[in-house]
Amino acid sequence: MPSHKANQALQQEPAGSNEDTSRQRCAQFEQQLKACTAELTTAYDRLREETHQRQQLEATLGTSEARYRTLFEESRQAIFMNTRAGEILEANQALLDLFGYTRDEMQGLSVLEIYAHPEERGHVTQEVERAGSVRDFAVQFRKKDGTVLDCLLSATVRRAADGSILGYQGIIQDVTERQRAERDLADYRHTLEQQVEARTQELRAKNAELEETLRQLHTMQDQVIAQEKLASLGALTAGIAHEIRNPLNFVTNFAELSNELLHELHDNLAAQQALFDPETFEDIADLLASLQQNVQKITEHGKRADRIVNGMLQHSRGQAGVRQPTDINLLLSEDIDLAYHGMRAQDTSFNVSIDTLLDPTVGSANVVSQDISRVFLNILNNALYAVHVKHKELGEGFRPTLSVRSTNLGDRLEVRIRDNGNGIPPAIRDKLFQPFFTTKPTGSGTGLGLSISRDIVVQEHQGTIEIDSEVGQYTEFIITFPRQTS
Amino acid sequence: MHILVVDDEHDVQLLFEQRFRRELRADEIALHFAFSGEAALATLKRQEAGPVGLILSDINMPGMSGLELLKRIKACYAHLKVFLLTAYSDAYNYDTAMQYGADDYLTKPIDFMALKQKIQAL
Repeated sequence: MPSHKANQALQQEPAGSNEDTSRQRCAQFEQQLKACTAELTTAYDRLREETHQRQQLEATLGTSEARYRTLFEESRQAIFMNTRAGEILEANQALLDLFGYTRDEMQGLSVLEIYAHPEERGHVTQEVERAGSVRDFAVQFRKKDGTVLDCLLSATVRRAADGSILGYQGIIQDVTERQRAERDLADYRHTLEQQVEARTQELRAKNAELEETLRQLHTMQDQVIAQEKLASLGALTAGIAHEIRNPLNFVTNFAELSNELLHELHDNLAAQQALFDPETFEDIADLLASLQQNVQKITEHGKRADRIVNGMLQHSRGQAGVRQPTDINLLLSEDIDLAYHGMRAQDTSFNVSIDTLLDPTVGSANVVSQDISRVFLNILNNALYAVHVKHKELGEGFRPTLSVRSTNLGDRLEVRIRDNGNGIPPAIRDKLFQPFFTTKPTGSGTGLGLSISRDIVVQEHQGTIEIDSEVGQYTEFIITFPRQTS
Repeated sequence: MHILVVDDEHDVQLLFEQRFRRELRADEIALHFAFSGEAALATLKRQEAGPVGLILSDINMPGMSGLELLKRIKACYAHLKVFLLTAYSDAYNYDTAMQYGADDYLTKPIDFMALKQKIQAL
């Protein structure tokens, strides 16, 4: 610039006198030269300053770029830059390490080479261009050796100044190990859950088993309590029976005595018949006959009461399990008596006709008689209870009837006890022999009668006990047992 | 024969006196009564070396039981016969009575025909 001005100054030189003009021109040149020099110096200084500044700027830029390059190269994250067509422009060491390529091999490689499923790239670029960037896009890449890697890709679009898309740059994160660990963890958790489930099942089964055992224990405990009660009731019954025997002894004996005395009186009177007029004698003889009859009745009923007491004593006697030849028909008759009188004792207004058909060839069987007697009594009592209930429901129109039959089956015996009560609904037939199952009102039955009966017949005597019933019509218990049991 | 009947039931006296009225009338036997084991021992002591030859005792009595009485009598008067008459026909009473030396054991209600035969057999 200053030199350009100097040229202008030279061209504007005017024409004048020789010397003066020469001097003047010289002086003018000199001045112009100085001015030019000063200008040049200033320009030079400015230039130097500019150059220096530029150098400084370049140095700064260089430092900055080196810094970023280092950051790029030494990043642990695999970083890339490629063209829109997929040619790889830049890849840092971490990326080379990840995929197992050398820098030379990688340079210019198509990204399709490192996609495990090249068709996936379209999805990625579409999404990047649509949104400007993607973050943690799950992609499977392939190493140079063919190993497939599960990766997360984060990328942005690289644009030219005019906004057109040059390509993409981004970070690839290898999550193969992490995913494997996650899968392992999931597997482990699954296995653990299965084990916990299996263990829970086991514990549940154990628990159910324990509950069942506990239930059985409770049942046994209840059974023991009930048996204790029955035993103490038996002892009480025996005590009462003995106490009744004493007054009964007097009743029977005094009645027999009175009978004898009446006989004597009658004999004496007959000897002295002549002392009386015939009508008076007739009256006295009639009175004596009536008295004798009455006394005879007292004796009879006293003896009957004694039989009942004997029956009670036999039933309650707690001698355990002695087998002896037992006349089954006799036992049945005694039990029928006992059950009948027991029923009458509870409700004197109630009557029942008992039809007994005992096979005289039944004879004896080798049984624990008090136990078999207990079975007969239980079933007879149930039968009486059933007809009693029906009688209360239907009133006088109903004729309560029991039928007891014994049959000789050769080496076995059969006893059938049938009542015309309300029958047993099929739904509860199976439960009848369960301990503590009862259809009687609370406190009326222990629910043990048939349970004990079955134990006695089936377990103790290797027999059978069966039920035949029609609701509203009848119930029949059929008991069989061998004559000889072990 | 003199018989001592031991029972806490007083009606036993009436019963026995009537049952044995023929024998009593014929002076075949004489009956004495005691209404407890203790009273029976007192009677025997009073009539020491007396005429009683047979004791008929109940077992179940307030105070001294028939079994205890039997034991005492057999200890002091070994020559006396003792029959036990009881409503208890169980094995324990029977076995104990036999062990203490009872001469017989009859269950109530008393069968007087049988009793008379046993007495005559003595």
